[in-house]
Amino acid sequence: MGALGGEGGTFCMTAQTPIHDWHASHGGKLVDFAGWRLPVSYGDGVIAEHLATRKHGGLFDISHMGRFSVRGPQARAWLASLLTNDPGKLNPGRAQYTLISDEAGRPLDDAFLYQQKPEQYLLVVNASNHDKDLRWLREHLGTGVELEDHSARLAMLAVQGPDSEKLLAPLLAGPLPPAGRNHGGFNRLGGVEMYLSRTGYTGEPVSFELFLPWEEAEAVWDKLAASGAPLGVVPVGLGARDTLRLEAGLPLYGHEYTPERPIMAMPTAKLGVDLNPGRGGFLGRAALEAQALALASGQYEEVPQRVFAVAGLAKGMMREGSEVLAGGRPLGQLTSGTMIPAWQFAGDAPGEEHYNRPLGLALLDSGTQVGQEVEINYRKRALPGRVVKSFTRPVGRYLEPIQFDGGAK
Amino acid sequence: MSEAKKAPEGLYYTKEHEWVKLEGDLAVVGLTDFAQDQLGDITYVELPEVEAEVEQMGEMCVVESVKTAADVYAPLSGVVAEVNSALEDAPELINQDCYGAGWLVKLSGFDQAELDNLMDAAAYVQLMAEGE
Repeated sequence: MGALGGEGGTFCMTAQTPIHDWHASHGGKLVDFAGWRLPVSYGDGVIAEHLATRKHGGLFDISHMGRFSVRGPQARAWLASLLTNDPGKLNPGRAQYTLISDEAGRPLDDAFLYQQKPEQYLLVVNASNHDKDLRWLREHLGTGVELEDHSARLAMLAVQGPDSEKLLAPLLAGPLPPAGRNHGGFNRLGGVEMYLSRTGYTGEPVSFELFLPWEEAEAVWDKLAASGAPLGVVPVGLGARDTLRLEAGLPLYGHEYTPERPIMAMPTAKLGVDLNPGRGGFLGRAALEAQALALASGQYEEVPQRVFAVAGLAKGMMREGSEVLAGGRPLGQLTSGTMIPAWQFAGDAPGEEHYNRPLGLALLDSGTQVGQEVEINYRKRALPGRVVKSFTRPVGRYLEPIQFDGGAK
Repeated sequence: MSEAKKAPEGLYYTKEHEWVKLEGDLAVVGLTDFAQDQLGDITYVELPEVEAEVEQMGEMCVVESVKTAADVYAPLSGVVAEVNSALEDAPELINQDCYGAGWLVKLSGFDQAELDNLMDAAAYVQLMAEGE
């Protein structure tokens, strides 16, 4: 066997989440990720964890992510001036997807903003961008705003998947947040005060994130793991976290978003960018308007390439960097891609059979149309594929894999 | 982990971490425990065609993991008589049971003399120990 790994060797200081010891003592294969020591998977592996999340549910330790507290009478106005979405659309107990744009409409980061109280927000950013984001926010700080880094004070866990409510409801002191994406509220679990939000990064129709004190996190995690096991809800590592977000068509900073690429090149950016006239000015607005106009008009100079979903239609592999062609003409290349497991559905729910299929996100010429047949070059093979709208669709409380004609199964 | 799981006795090994087990006229081939551990979670195996001819230490198939892609070399020259098609939908079998249900291919028509180019379990374990 050839071409083995080779990333070992260097040793550097890495941070540990409050669940680190639990991961280490429960079969977690720990790796360094964005300065943190986190499990890539546990004993049953990435495929099993992905499938378990889609059928029952998954537990995720996402305490490595950056969490900034923003409070004060001017908190909303200040956030509105620096974020691409409109915090004015939020109320206490609501959250929204958003981005931090530079003047040129390029992403510093993509983020989630949670309004917890009238003058209290939590901004969650990528672990890899924590330092850069904090510096940027401090440089642009206004009066009447108190910005604090709560990354090492608050832990963050996620419970994602169809049986998440069944797992959480009996453990909570208060009621679940109202049904509907991005709703949240304060709650208690085992006597621990927390903020609970219907948000996540798996595409699951039923999903939750928990914000709770760092010192209490391991006890809560342990309780969730113990109560989740009989339901088939399992701990999930970074490997399946990546395949789940990829299957859901969600972007990952450093792959779909990069510091050089226009924000609007990622289609899901639309969910986090509010260009309504009444919204007012914010950093990067003019550039983002130019990008949006380019895409709407078909004059693609501002955004020559954008991200599309690409499904492989035969047995084979694709990875980040794979070239995508149409009839031999290069269209672009993959920004993410791998083999992804999927349940064969029996009616409206996952059945007993599963299969694997290669899926990717690709930065392609902006004029590319959904439905375009393509070839994906990977190593010595050209895999037939197609540009598609999405890989999944919500069906009740499940996320169903869409099967493509001509595909394997 | 026990030495027996790392490299069972009675098998032949390559320095590229393939193993061979003789079963009558067939040579069963797979990846060693060291290999599956180094690769991490395996997500895809590109198996060869049945009846394909392979040469000793020539490329035989490709194993893809979350981390990387790895060429698997034929430990013996011969003809692919059978492939483990269960790996198409369950490549994780290699991680779970690399010396059993996770086998890759069975070769026929191989040359017994080529076995001399391979290692026994003790030699393979020693090679691993030197590499660590």
